[in-house]
Amino acid sequence: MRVDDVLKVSFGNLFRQKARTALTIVSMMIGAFLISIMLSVGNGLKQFMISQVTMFADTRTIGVQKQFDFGSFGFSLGGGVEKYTEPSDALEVDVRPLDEGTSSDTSGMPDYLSGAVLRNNDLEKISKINHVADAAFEKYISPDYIRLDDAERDKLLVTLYGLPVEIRENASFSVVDKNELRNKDAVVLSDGYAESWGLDRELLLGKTVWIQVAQTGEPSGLGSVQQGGMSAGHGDVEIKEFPFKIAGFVEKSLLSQMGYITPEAADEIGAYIAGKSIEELITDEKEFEIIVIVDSDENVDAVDRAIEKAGYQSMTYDESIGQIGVVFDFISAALSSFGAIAMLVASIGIANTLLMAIYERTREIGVMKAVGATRTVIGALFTAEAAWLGILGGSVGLLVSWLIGRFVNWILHDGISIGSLTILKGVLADYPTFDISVFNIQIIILVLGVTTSVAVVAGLYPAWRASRLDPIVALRHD
Amino acid sequence: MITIQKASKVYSLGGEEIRALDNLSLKIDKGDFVALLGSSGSGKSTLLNVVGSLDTLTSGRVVVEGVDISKKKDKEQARYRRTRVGFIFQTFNLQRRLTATENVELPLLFDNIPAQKRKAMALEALSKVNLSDRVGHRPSELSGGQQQRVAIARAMVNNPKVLLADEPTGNLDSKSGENIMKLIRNLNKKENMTVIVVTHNEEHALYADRVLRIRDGKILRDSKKKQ
Repeated sequence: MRVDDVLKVSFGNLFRQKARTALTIVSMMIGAFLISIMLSVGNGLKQFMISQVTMFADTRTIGVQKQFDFGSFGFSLGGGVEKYTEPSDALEVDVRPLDEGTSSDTSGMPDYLSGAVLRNNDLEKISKINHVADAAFEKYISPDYIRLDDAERDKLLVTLYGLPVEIRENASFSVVDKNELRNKDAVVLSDGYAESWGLDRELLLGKTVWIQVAQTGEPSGLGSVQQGGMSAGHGDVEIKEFPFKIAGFVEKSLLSQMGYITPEAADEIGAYIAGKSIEELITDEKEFEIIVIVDSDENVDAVDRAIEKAGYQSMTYDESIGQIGVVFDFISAALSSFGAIAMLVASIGIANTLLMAIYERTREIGVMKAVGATRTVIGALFTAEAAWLGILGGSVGLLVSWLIGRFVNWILHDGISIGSLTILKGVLADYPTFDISVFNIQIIILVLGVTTSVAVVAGLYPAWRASRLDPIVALRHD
Repeated sequence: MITIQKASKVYSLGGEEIRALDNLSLKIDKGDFVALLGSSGSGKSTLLNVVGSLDTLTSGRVVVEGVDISKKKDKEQARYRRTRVGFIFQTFNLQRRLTATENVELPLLFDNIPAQKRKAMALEALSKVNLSDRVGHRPSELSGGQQQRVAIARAMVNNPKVLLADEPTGNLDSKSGENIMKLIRNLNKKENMTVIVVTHNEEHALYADRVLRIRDGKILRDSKKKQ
């Protein structure tokens, strides 16, 4: 029997008992729906996390660390911008322009972290690797606050991150002044600052902000990464405000209270905090990560290997994406297991449906055998019928989950309101590019593949039974 | 053409051994029209099924055109049924949801014949049984006699050498039964098909060239019509 005839006849057989077929498809649909909605949500979250992590990344960048377990940094994720609380014994603020760095005594790095510290000789070693276009220390600074010139507006917490201009230029900006971006005193802020100050982002471009840091004597590395406000009640510690000009805002992200500045500005502030001159700071640089920019995409792997060979831990752009992918794929798979259970139940339904069909069609199977059908053909007809149930259940499940996913995306972005009355706020209104449910071709293929395979496996036993029917017995069946 | 040698079919029913065929030997020539007469349980249907390769022998052999079909595997048996024999049943065994043409196409479906050719062959077979005006009708829209004619068209659509009919008039009124027997006789003569008909009806047995009376799995009497 020709394959197209097998498919056609088995498809036609689905319509003999329409209600039973519909119920079987619905049971398969529930499993497919659960699996596909979980996968699409996992995929949506994965894409969102990748967009967050890669906000400043370039495919040519490699992050380099010492081979050391860092644990995790203490950024607040998704918490929005927080207000700065004045220390009880606030001091007069010494306002000086950026270039007026001061120096004083140094203090040491915490001992437990000393194994993770990268120094100038590491930077030099990495810079000399073939095809490395640029390599710079990654610098985090945790000032007390950031404020506008306008005293009416709140002082807000901020974490500063020194980024080379090549990387900053490729960021996902919501608004930007590209000319301003290259200036040493340029700062790019998280989207939430404009909102917290209650001003339009466009209006804030070019405006001066003041960032206060305290001279704690700690190095500019991890010691300064503690959240702003840590020095509430500075006592007799010297403090200083550094002026910056807003060059842009990055799209709303989970890293909600970040300010991105030039590495040079980071050095100045770092030197002030450490109580050193910039030269002293640069000479005795201690950081935890070096950002490497490779001259071209083709050389990224070679540079990555060379860095690892030199005894460092490195992470390329693709590797970071890959790691996020693995984590979220695992989460999706774990969530999808609920759907798998539903599908297992549905597969029993398919087996039952087909066994009933065999009972009803026993005589017909006898006739088919009498007119020349082989066991293989009879088995194939029932297996194909099972496959159709799987394909249809999977397709309907995908369609329903896609529609529900779209609906949920829409609700989360736009909310529900009747006239001026808001019934439900659009919780993702600030993340226009983030959809909670995102379908792709892999999900469609996977879900259809799983539903069809499960259905075929469920249909194997009924198909085997049908194929083994004795034609004489079958022809006598009432 | 058909040689049955020392055929025995034994099965057990409720612990009792039943001999449906008991060391039966028989030769049927090409183009013969043979009627098998006998009471219920005499073994006539078993003999028909063995020739049609629907049933297997406990011992002995069935040779059709020099080939021992009793030793064939499922695939070869199916091929034999598909190409060499055609079955006609008492209850017609048509598929209710299919039209007359689609029912007749069924054996061709299993023979890898493309749809268009299948349809042409089915229509031709239906015209041979004078049902050209009922090709699109479903069994429920046809009389018993017409349904049996559709079944005959299905049995002969792949031009088999042997036509096997198991009480083809058993579910029909006398007039329709007569017509069906005439039709089968006609096919036997025109198409030179070897025909074996199982019947209870002595009158219908008269359409055959040869009448075999079966009892307890043995041939009781073998009578040939004088030419």
